[in-house]
Amino acid sequence: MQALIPRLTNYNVRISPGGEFSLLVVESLSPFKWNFSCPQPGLARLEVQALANMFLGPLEPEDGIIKRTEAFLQGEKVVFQIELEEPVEAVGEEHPGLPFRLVLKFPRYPLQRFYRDKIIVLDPGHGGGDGGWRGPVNLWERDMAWRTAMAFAKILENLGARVEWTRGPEENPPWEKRSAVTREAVCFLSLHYYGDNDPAVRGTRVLYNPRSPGNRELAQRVLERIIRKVKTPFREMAPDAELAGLGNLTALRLEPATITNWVEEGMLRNPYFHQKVALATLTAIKEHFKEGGVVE
Amino acid sequence: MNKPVSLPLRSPASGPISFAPLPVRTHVIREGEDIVEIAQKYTEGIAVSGDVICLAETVVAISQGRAILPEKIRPGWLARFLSRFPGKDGSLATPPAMQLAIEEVGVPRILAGCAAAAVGKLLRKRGWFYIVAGRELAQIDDIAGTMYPYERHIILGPKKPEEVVRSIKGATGVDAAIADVNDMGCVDILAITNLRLIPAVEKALKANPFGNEDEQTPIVVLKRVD
Repeated sequence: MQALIPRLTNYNVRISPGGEFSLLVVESLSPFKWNFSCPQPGLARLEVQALANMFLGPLEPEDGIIKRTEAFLQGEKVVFQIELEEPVEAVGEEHPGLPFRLVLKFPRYPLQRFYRDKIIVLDPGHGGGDGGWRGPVNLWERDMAWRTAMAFAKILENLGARVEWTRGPEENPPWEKRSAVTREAVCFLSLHYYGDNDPAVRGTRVLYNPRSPGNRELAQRVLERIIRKVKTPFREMAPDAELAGLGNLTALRLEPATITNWVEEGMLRNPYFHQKVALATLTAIKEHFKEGGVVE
Repeated sequence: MNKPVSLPLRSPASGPISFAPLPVRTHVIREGEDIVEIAQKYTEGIAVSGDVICLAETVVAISQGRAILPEKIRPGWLARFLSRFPGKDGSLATPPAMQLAIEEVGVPRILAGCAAAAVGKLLRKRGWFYIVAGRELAQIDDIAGTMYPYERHIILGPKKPEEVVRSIKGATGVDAAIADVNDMGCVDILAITNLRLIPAVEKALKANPFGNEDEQTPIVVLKRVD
């Protein structure tokens, strides 16, 4: 009969394939009783009557909806405290089977509302015959900048935003052409990977448009979120003279990693790296504007 | 470890054996931890006789102190030269990883493996390097091949995997396996306490229930469902 006692085995947070929901998934050997409540805006609580075989340590998805979850034992229950970045209401769905799954679905409409119909300009920093820096094994900055740009585009399209590109993969227009963007654009993101002759140099850098109000603060947010998400060290945050040419437009140049570093080149092979950079950046941008950043 | 020739795999009730994977979230396992105790602790009350406790090879290796920072390796000229040839998305693409491979099996076997790989290339056959130089080299995870906080390490394959699985079976009474699985559906069983279960275990692990990212589920209990 021991096997019939509900025992939690796993929990994780992920985004649904279409991007509509942040999902908190709790898995168990067998079905369990649960109770879900929202004791205050921005805080949700799930109580589960079960034993816990799994590690109960926290998760920090920071996906724009779920900021952090913490699980702990309270009497004969396992309690999940869910800190939200947006006060959304979730629904729970049971999925019978082995493992038995409880899926809490947190809608991502605050992000969709913010990005819907907004124009975001994506500028992969290199293309065509211009490969940029080359990693010590074999990766080119051009290819990685494009991979990251595609991760941005996928998320933005799921959120209903309009993506404008400064170039095609085989094109190599000068900066003057790439920076001639539509006046309706909300944000310009130039995507690069840093390179250095010293292979020990590593880390993340974000440059910003010094002429755009609040861009320094935005750069700080983006940098912090990327570092927390992909676990790279801080390298630099600084104004960028080229971006200043964009006038008041919110504009960042992202260098999420240093491609000439052995470790960081290896990290770029992982497709999740690019998704994490894109999600961290877009979440920070939304957070920035929500908290009073100016949309010019 | 030799795989058995295809045996008609049947459960006592004469149906085919099949498993449902149950990933178990663990803490981040570190060097010096007792992997047998860990397996016992996280599967207690979940795994029963007839099931299989599967461990990801990487965490077994990490617990054995086989995660090595590349800064601690001094690649020789041979490692620097040979690291230019393997596939760039796999293991041994960096000089430190190749140096560790040389130290694991010795220069003669590495050179014999290279010769085999060259012949294999002419005949359009892949994998001959590892067949000759040593299967354990295929288990090396190069830099950034595993999750934080070990992304800066090179992870060698686990030592004595057969002993580890026997000890887990001794401690839990449940069959155990150590596997190397990736997101492309490749499953390599390094050691298992019951060879007859290999086809069913491989099938159950094909979708990589260990995960390949932040999942933190290096233990998967395969529950018998036939």
